[in-house]
Amino acid sequence: MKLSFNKYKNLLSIYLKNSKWLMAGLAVIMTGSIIIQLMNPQIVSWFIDGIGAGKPTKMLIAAAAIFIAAAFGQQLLDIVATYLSQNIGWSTTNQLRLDLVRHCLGLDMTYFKEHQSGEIVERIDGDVTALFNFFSKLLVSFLNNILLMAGIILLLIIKNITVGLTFTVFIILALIVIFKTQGKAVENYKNNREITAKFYGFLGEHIASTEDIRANGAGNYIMNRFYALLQKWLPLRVTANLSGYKIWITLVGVYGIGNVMIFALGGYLWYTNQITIGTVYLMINYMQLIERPLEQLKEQLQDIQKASASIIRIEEMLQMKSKLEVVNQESIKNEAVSLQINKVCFEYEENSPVLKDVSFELPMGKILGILGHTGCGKTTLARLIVRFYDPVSGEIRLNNVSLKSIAQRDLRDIIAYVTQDVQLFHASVRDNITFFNNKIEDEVILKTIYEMGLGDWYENLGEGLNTILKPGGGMSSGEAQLLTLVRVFLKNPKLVILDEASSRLDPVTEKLVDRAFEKLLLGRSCIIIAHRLGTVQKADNIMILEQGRVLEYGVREKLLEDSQSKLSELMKYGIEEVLV
Amino acid sequence: MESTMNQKEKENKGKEAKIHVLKLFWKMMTYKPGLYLINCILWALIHVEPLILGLIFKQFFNILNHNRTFTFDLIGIVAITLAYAAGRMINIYSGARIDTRHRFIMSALLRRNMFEGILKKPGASSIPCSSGEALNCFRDDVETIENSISWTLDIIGNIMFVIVALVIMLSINVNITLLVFTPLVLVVGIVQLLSSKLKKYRTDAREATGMVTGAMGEIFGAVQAIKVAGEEDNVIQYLNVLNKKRHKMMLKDTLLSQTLDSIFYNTVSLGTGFILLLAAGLMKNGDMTIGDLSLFIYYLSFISDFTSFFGWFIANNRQAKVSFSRIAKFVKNGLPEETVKHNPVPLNPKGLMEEEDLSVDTDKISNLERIEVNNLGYCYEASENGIHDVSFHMEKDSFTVITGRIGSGKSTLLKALIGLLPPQSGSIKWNGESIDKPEEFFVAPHCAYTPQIPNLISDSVKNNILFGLSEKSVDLEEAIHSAVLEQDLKGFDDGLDTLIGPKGMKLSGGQIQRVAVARMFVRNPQLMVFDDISSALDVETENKLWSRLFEKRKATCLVVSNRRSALKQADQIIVMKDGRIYAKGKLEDLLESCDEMQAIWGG
Repeated sequence: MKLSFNKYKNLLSIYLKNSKWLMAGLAVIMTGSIIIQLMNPQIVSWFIDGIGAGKPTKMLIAAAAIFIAAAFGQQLLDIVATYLSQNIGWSTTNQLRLDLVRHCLGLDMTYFKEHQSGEIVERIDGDVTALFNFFSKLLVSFLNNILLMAGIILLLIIKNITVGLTFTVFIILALIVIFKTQGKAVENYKNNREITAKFYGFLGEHIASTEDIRANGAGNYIMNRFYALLQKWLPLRVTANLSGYKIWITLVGVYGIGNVMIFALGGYLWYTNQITIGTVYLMINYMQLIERPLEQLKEQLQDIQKASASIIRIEEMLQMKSKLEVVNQESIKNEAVSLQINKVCFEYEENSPVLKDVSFELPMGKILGILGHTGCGKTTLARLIVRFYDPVSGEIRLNNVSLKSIAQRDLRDIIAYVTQDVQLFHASVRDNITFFNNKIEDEVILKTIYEMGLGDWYENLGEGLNTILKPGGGMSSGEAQLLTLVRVFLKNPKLVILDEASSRLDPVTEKLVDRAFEKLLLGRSCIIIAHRLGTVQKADNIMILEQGRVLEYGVREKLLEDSQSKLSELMKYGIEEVLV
Repeated sequence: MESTMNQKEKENKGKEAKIHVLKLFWKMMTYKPGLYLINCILWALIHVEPLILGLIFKQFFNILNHNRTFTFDLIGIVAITLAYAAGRMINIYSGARIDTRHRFIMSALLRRNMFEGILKKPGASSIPCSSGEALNCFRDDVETIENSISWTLDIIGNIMFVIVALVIMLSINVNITLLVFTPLVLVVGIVQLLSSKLKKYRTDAREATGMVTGAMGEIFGAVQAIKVAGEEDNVIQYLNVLNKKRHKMMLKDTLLSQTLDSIFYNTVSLGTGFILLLAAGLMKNGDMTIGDLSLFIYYLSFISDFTSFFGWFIANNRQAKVSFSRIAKFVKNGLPEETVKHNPVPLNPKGLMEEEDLSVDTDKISNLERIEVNNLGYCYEASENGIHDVSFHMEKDSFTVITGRIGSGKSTLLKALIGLLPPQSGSIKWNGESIDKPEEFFVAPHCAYTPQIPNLISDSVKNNILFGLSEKSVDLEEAIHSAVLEQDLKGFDDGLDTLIGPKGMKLSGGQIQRVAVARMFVRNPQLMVFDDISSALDVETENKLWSRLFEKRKATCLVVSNRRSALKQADQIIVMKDGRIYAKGKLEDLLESCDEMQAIWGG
């Protein structure tokens, strides 16, 4: 508990800083509401004693009228309080959501390799929404309840010291019992949330694979896996829910003791003439009044429990650091860049090296073609150059400046990386091209599209740049690839890496794009990764990778002259393919 | 065919507007009637029990008021109070256990039916929204309905409480009792007035939430592209805009429900005030005791809780209606009844189905001799794109290649043919017999398919290939060899048992593609459909794959490709342009006569 309270404090101080005035307003409103709540039972108590004392009916009726008016006032205050607390809650949690997304985007790719996107979303939105209750309800109600209980104790002590002290002892004992009941609840909630996240991860993954499942007739198999997951989930959910109910059950016991206390103490004090019957009623009324805080405290505890499970996971997420080292930063101002790769080794998992001792140099403005079988490490090499990962050993330099010393932002501006994986947003064509960068003007985008020779394609879009792309909306993967290419053209990078970039294009479109590429590559350094020979015809240098090692590296023409070279051999093979 | 489809769609749209929530609830309650009944009894008891406590209070004041000396009745009251508390604790524990189980079963049924519905829809248009939104429906909408069902128990318990309380109160004082119930009627009236607004706000809030989670899902799906573009800030800005919208919508929604809650809650204070007004005269005359007053005020708080709960229940049911209409999108024909259909949800391992045995099925099917496609058409809703009027036929064991530029409709043609897109117009004949439900017919062992970008699931390589088939009934090794996967497998740590996906090993694009091909081969289908498998494969591997396929070619193949290696193998080439067949024939002829073919073949 202690641990998580500290964490709440950290989060609160960071995220509530901007809502100071709103919180002050909230405090004023809450105080008013509490005063009314404390006053009303006193009116009823006065009313009962008034009847015994034979007060005039007029006064009794006036008391009833005040009672009604006060009740209305309190409700009004509650609505205003909700407005304020909701506002605070949403602005703070939205900020937290953004911060988490930003933080995650800053992590290196290892994180995304290990977590499905559905799972990350469930963590960010699901956990933060659980935290929302913590922000919006806890602040209002928790304080409200504490103050209400304090007020009750104070008023009872003024009325009769014995009653006041007994209530104090009762409340303290009740709270101790309730807090003790919390037990393993945090762990149970965590387990339940974890399997919940797993369940939605499963759903997300399979909803994305319906084509595969459907066409292979694997529906029943997948349903089986679905049931198996449900079977694992049920006992965890029952355990988690029961730990929530435990507090209610405890409260029932506590109320029972409380009532017994009133019956015994109230009876005794009444028989010994120390209190009026109105005060006995006041005891019952106040006991009922603290039932609500105790009961809400139960809900708040559940929220705290849920929230602490969430907080622990959010903290875990925030503490996850990018594995990429940051060193003092230098900037690269040159127009063109050269690339130096020195004895680079890399592995995704220990003891299964993907790249082994790769070294080469790409001079400024030259085009390098990398050839190799699928799985030879071509793509991994590209990922290292754009610094999704850092090499296990060895070094990569741009213009002889180590990648580690180049600011991430600069690096993104310098390098463009085009892959065959294209993901589209449910947003307009414009936003898919610019990634929501609204500083890029439409004319510039259109100019680029026409320069690339994609005019025909563009004119077929229903509403031009405003066309909204929908999942399954009939955009072919080739067309989707075109969007990414437009993106790169807009960016004006200094080093371009094309990783099978045009593999999904048909030969006609590919030719169009190739022409555009020629323009793009002019004066820039470029790496073209391919498993097809045709793709690297424009390359100045050629590297052939095999099982993570450089098999051959050199100037293309020289390699071709050498009949012993692997490239010449491959060319023969390629030509053969054409001749068969 | 086209007209009947439209009619069906219209019917569905008509039905969408009409959702009988109570009927659907009934269907859910009767899914596990025994469990529901026990649950109901336990919760009715939990709700009725406070009546006893009210009577205890009344008795307590009566004892105090009668004489100012101690009596043993007071000890009796204390004993009864203790017994009451102990019994209630046991009751709540058992109620909680049963209800959690029942709740779980209720949402499991809905989720099961939704999930099955998605799996049974044409694969390429299985969900009508982003997957983030779909997950939202699985989570929040199902939860709303689950609450509704569980709350029916509370409603039943509350009604029982109110009836008994009413009888007790009427026997004390008729006038005051009636006065207490007046605000209740008022409250229900106000709820009715505001509920349509609440419904609208709720829908808006849900939609805004869906947009946020949907966008987050897309952002993390495209994380690589975003990182490379260095546009993290803009993407977050975009998310911020969606966040703000959600904030606004949620605020509206919560404020209105808080106002409603406030009105409900106020009934107790209002009622207490009224009771005091009337009681002033009665108690002075001695027509009403303090015990009676305490009982009235005590019951009133419960009755007011009931009115507030009742209003809440009604509001949640309206919300449940929205939820039903949203989850109905995922099931067969979009019918809400399908979401609550009494399908089995096995909750212990015994209930799981056996792995499938292919050999059983093969005898039953008619061996493929000829497939005819007549005037096949499909048009995407969102755009003008699609295919029109496509007709061709394939003979047994022939190799047909569909070629064309991007956006020419190649993949759409494949998907429409094998039922991954819902049929719109045209017909498909298998050995001369018309196939009405291609989505059910074109699965193994009739047909199998490798998508252009295959998806694998987080599981072992073996399970991804078998995908539900029993290992004994198939030739796994042969399929792996044919798919040119054997070398890769040797490199994997655990061979076939290597886990893949986010928690396991990451496969390269080409490896994924070949696992998918193996998945197809292992099914030994009569018709094999490849959607441009070569895009992730190098020349050597692709050549190997084709040659291994032709070595033992028993199957009819339909292939989308622009690669020469595939085109040269073709018995028939179909050239697509702008969604129509532009030319059809043998390679040599097409190269001579067809400009489009020449352009694709290149120089």
